[in-house]
Amino acid sequence: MGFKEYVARRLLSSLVTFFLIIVLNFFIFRIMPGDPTRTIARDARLLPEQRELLKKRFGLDRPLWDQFILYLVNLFRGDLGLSFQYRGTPVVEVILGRRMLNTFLLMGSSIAVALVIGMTLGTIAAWKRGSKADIAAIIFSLVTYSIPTFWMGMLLILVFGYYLDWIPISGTITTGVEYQTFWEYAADYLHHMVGPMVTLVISFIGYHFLLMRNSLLDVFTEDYMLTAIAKGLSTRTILFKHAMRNALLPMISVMALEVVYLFSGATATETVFTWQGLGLLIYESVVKQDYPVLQGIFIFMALAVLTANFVADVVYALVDPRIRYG
Amino acid sequence: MNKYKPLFILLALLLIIPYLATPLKASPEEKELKFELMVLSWDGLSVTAGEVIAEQLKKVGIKVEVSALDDAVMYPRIDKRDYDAEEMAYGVDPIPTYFYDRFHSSQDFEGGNNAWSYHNPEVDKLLDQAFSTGDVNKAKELFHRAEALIAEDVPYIPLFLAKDVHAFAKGWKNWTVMPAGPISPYNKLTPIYIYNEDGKDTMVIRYPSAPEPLSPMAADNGRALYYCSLVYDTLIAYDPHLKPIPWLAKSWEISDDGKTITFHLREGVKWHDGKPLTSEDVAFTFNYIKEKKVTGGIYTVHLIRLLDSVETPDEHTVVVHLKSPFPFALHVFGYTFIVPKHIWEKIDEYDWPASKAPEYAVGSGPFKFVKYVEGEYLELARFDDWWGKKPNIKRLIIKIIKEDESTILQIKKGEVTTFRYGLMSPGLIKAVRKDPDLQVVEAIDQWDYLLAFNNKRWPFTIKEVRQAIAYAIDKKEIVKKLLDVGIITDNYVFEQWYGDWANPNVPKYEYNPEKAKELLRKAGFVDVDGDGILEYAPEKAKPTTPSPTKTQTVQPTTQKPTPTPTTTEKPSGPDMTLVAGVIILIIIVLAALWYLKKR
Amino acid sequence: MLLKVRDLRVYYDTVAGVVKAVDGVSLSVERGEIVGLAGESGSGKTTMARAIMRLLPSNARIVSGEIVLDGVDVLSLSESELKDFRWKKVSMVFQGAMNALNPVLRVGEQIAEVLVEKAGYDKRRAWSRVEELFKLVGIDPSRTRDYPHEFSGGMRQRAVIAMAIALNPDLVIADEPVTALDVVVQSKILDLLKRLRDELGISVLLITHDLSVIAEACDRTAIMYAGRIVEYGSTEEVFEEPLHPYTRALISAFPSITGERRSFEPIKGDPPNMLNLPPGCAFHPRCPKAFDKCSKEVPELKEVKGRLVACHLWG
Ligand SMILES: Nc1ncnc2c1ncn2[C@@H]1O[C@H](COP(=O)(O)OP(=O)(O)OP(=O)(O)O)[C@@H](O)[C@H]1O
Ligand SMILES: [Mg+2]
Repeated sequence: MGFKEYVARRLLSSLVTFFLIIVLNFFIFRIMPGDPTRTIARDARLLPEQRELLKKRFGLDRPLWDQFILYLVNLFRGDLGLSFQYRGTPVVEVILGRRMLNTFLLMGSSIAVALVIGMTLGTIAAWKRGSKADIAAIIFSLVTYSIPTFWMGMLLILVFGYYLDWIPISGTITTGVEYQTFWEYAADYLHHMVGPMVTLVISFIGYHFLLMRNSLLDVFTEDYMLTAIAKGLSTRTILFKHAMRNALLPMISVMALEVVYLFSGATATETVFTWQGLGLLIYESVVKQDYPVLQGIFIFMALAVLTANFVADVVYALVDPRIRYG
Repeated sequence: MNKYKPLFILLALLLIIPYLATPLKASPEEKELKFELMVLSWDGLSVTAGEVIAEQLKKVGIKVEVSALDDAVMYPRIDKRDYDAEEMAYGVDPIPTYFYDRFHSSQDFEGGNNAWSYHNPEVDKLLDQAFSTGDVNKAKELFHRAEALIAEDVPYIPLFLAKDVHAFAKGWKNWTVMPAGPISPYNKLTPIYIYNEDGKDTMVIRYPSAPEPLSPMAADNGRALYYCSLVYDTLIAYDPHLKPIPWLAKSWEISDDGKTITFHLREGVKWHDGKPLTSEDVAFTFNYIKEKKVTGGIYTVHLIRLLDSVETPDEHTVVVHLKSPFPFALHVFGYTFIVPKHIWEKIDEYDWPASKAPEYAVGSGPFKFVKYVEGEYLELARFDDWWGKKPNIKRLIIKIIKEDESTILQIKKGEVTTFRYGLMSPGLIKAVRKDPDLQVVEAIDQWDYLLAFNNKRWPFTIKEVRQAIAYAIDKKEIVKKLLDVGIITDNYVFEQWYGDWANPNVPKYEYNPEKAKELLRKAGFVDVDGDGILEYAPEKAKPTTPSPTKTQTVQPTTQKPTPTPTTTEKPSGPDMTLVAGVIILIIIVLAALWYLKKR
Repeated sequence: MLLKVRDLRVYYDTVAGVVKAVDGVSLSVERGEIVGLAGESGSGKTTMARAIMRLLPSNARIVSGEIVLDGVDVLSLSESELKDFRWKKVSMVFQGAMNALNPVLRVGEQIAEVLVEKAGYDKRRAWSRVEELFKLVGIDPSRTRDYPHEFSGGMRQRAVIAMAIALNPDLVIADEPVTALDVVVQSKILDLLKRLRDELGISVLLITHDLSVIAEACDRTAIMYAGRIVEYGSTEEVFEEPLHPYTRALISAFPSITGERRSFEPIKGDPPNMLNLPPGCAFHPRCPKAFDKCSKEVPELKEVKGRLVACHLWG
C-alpha cells in the first residue's frame, strides 16, 4: 500500500471517529443528571413565562431529536450555541478568544521547553545511569513531578512576585495600559508568562526526563548501539545520532497526546496565576454547569487529538523507515 | 475473550453486592433520634458551624451525621426536599421579599425557596396580606405577626449573619459602610466618595471571576450587578441604612391606594454619549423589561409582575401604574437600571455578549465604559458630565484575580485597592485582621446562615424536637469557633438589614440544654439502651422519674407513634436480603476458586 | 603474530552466581589468516570476541590474562585510546547482523560516519568510499542511501562486512557472520571474507557453531568448550583427525561437513551448566573415554602432533 493511500485511509478513519465523538458529545450531556434549564433559570422566583422564554433562547424547549439535528446543523455552520455562564455569548466566541491563545502560548512553550530540557537530561542520565548525577536527576524529577503545581505556583508568587517583585502576581497583561507598539505588548505578556511557565516547566520536566531515560535505556540494549560503540564513535554521535533518534519514536506518540494539553490547559496553574485559559474555563464551566461551553471545548479537544494522532502517524511513518503502511 | 468471561461475571457480581447489602443494616435503630446534616463542602463557615452543631446536639442525646457535600450534590437534594437537615448560607437583599419566598406554602415546589416545606395557613394568610398592601406600616405589622408565628414553629433556626470583611490598600479613605459592605450593588456611594491620600486616581477592584454578562438586562450575579451600578443610574439609591434617597428622581409620590408611583426626574441629565435622558427612557426601560420578560437586574421579577402601564406626562415625570399594590414597589421601580431608548430600541436580544459592550454599554451613571479585555480587566472612566458630585477617582478598573491570597498580596503592594466580595475563609480573615499593611473594614453581609429542617420528615415533624434543637444550640460558641466572622441573630427578618420590619419581640431560644432535654422527653424521647442517644419511646418517657429497665424493652415499631414519618422507607422485612447476600458471596467465592483452578 | 591472547579469564557476575564464560583461554592469530572459533552455544565465543574489543557488558570482569594486538596491550588502553583503537585496529561483524544496523539511519550513512569521524574524510569522499566498499562486498553501489529494512539478509550481512573493513583494520572479528543465511548466500559471504583476506591482507577471527563454515573458510581452527580452548590446530588436521573427544563428537554430530556423508551421532548429555561447571575436565560427564583423572584435574593445553590439545588422553 502506498503512502498516499495510507494517509487517505487514516484520514477517513479520523473523520468517522470525529463524527462519533460529535454524536456522543451531544448525548452525554443530556444523559448527565440535572436539568440544564435549572442552571440557566435557577432563581426559584422566576415567573413561568420568564422560564419559558429562557428555554426558548437556549433551544431547550424543543424535543431532544430536534435539538440534536439543530446541534449538528449549527455545528457545521461553526455555531456551538450560547454559553450559560457568559449569558448570550456564543460558545465559539468564549473559546476562540483570548483564552485559547493564552493556553496555546503558555502550554505550547512550557511543553516545548520541558521537552527539550527533559529529553536532554534524560539522555545524559541514561548514558550515565547509576551515577550520582543520574540518581540526583531521578530524585529531582520525582519530587518536581509530585509537587502540586498549585503549591509550586503560590511559592513562586510569594517569593518572586511579592518579596522580590520580579514577576507579576496575576493576569496576562498589566491592567489599564495603552500599548504603543506590538512589541511593548508582547514584552508585557511574556513577563506575565514567566511565573506560570516556570511552574509548568518544572512540573513537566520530570515526566519527560523519566520517559526519555527509560526509552533510551531500552534502546541501549539494541545491537546497533553495540555496533555504534564498537565503531569507536564519539559519545555525542552515539547518544544524539544513534540513540536519541530511536528513543524519540515512542516520544512522538507521547507528544501527540500532549496536544490535548493545548486545549485542556492546566487548571491549577491557570488558577493560581489567573492565567485566563481553557483550563480555567473548563473548571468554571463544570462548576457553573455551562455545558454548551464544555461541549464546545470537547469538540475542539477531539479535533486536536485526532489531528495530532493523524499527524503523529504520518510523522512516524516518515521518521521510522521500517513502518510499512498498513 | 472467553478466557476472561468468569472474570467479568465476578466483577458484575461485585458491583451488585453493595445494592443488596445496603438494607442489611436498616431496621433495629430506626427510632433513634438521629439525622444527617448536609453542609457545603467549599464553605468553611458552613462546615465548621455544622461540626459545632453536631457536638452540641450530641450533648442532649441527638446523633448528627455531618456530610460535607458539593453544591452540585447538595442543591438538587434541597430542591427535591430529599434531606434531613442542612446548614448553609442563604442570601438577602434590601427588600425582604425572601420572607414570602421562604415561608409561604405556595413556595414549596421543587426548587422553590420554601426548602423546609413549612406549611402554616395562618402564616400564609398574613404573608398574602403583607405583600399585597401598599401601606408600609400595615405591612410591617403583618410581618411582625407572621414572624412571631414562624419563630414559635421554628421551621429553621437562624444562626448568624456573616460579616463582610473587606481589606483596603493603604492610603485609601472615605468609603461608605452599609449592609453587604463597602463594595456592593446597593452601595453607590463608595465609588463616588473614596479617594487616595497619595493622589492615586485609579481604583482597582478585584473580581474572582469574569464580570459578565455586561448587559444590565441580563446581569444576574453580584459582579455584573456591581458593574451595572457604576455605569447605569437608578431612580433612587440607598443611604447607609438602606433607606431610599433621591438619585435620578429628585422626588416621588406614592398614591394612597399604593397603585400609582410618580417619579420627578432631575433635569439636565445626560447619557454617556451626550444625548439627554428623559422620562421617555425610563418608560422605555420599564416596558422593555416587561415585554422581553428580562431576567437580569435586581427586582425585575417583581417589576414584570406589578407593572400595568407607564405614563410620561412630561419630559421629567414618570407615572407608574401597578396592577396591585406592593409594599416595596418604590424599590422595585426605583432600583432598576435605566437604559437609553435610542440604543436599546435596536436591541432584540437583551443578553448580548460582552463584545457588544463598546457599542451598547451606554449609561448615565458616574462611570462610563472604556474597554473590557476578556478575562483580564474591565476599565471604566469617570463621566465628567454626570449630574451628581464628581467622583474623586478618575478611573475605576475591575481586575479579575482568581485567588484570595494573590489578591491580598496585590493589595499590600498597592496594585489593587480592594475586592468585590468579602473574604470567606476564617484563616485568611484572621491573617488580614492582623496585617498592619491593610485597612480592614467589617460590615454586615448579605449571607444569613441557618440550620434548616425538612419539616416533612421525622423527627422534624415534631415541633418539640425543632424547639429542643433551638435550645440546644449555643450560637455564641459557633460564632466564636468561626473567629467572630458572624453576627448572631434570632430573627427571621433581620433588624440589621430591615430595621423595624423585624419583630423585636420574637420568641428567643436562649441556650438551655436542660430545657432541650425536657422538651425531648415530653415529645417521647428517652435513652432506652443507654448509649447516650435518645430513642423514641413515648411509654417510657411519660413518668417524671423514669427508670428505664432493659428487661422489658418495647419495640418502638410495634406501636406507631403519632407523628410517624410519612415516608417510611426501610422495609424491616426478614433477612431475605441477608440470605441472598450470603448465597451470592458463596457463588463469588466458588467462581473465584473455579477461575483460579482453570488457570 | 598479530593477536595474542594469553590465559584470558572473563567472568560475569549474576544474581545466580559467577559465570566463568571465558576461563583461561590462550589463542594467537597470524597476519592474513582466517582463524575459526567453534563451540556449542554458551561456550564463551562471543564473550571472548567482545573482550578483545573491550566491549564487555558492565557485569563482566576480566579476571586475568593478556591481550596483545599488533604490539598494543589492549587491556591497558584508556577510554580515549580505546575510541581510536576500535574499528581502526580491530572491527567486528556482530552476531545477528540483522539488528546490527541502526534502523533509522541510511546504511551508507552508518559506514560514512566512521570514515568521517575516524579517518578524517569529508562527507563527499566518505560517500564515494562507501560506494567503493559496496562494490567490493558485492552490493549495488546505488543502494547506499537505502534504509536497513530495504536490504535482504545477505545484503545486510555484506553491508556489515563493508562497514567492518571500512577503516582497513588489522583484524576483523566475525561473530556468526553467516548464521541464518541460506547455504548459497553463506558460501558467497565466506568467499567474500576469503577474498578480502587475500586482497587486503586482513586477519579474520571467524566465530561460529557451524563446523561446515569453518571447514569452508578457515586456515586454523580452535574448538571451545565451557570457556576453554580444547583443541587448536590447522583446519585440515583437526577435521582429519580430531584429537579431543569433544572435537570428535562435534564433528560427528554434523551430518555433512565437506559434502561427503558421515555417520550422524548427536553429542550425548546436556551442555554444561556454566554456573556450576563439573570439576576436572568440564567435558568429562559427556565424554565416552573419560577416566578417573578427568573428573579431578583440569587438563592443560599441550602440544600434541603439532597442534594444541587439552585432554588427559594425551597426557
Ligand atoms: N551479560 C551477561 N551476563 C551474564 N552471563 C552472560 C552474559 N553474557 C553471556 N553470559 C553467559 O556467558 C556464557 C557465554 O556466553 P557467550 O555469549 O560468550 O556464548 P557464545 O559461545 O557466544 O554462545 P552463542 O553461540 O549462543 O552465541 C553463557 O553461559 C552466557 O549465558
Ligand atoms: Mg555468541
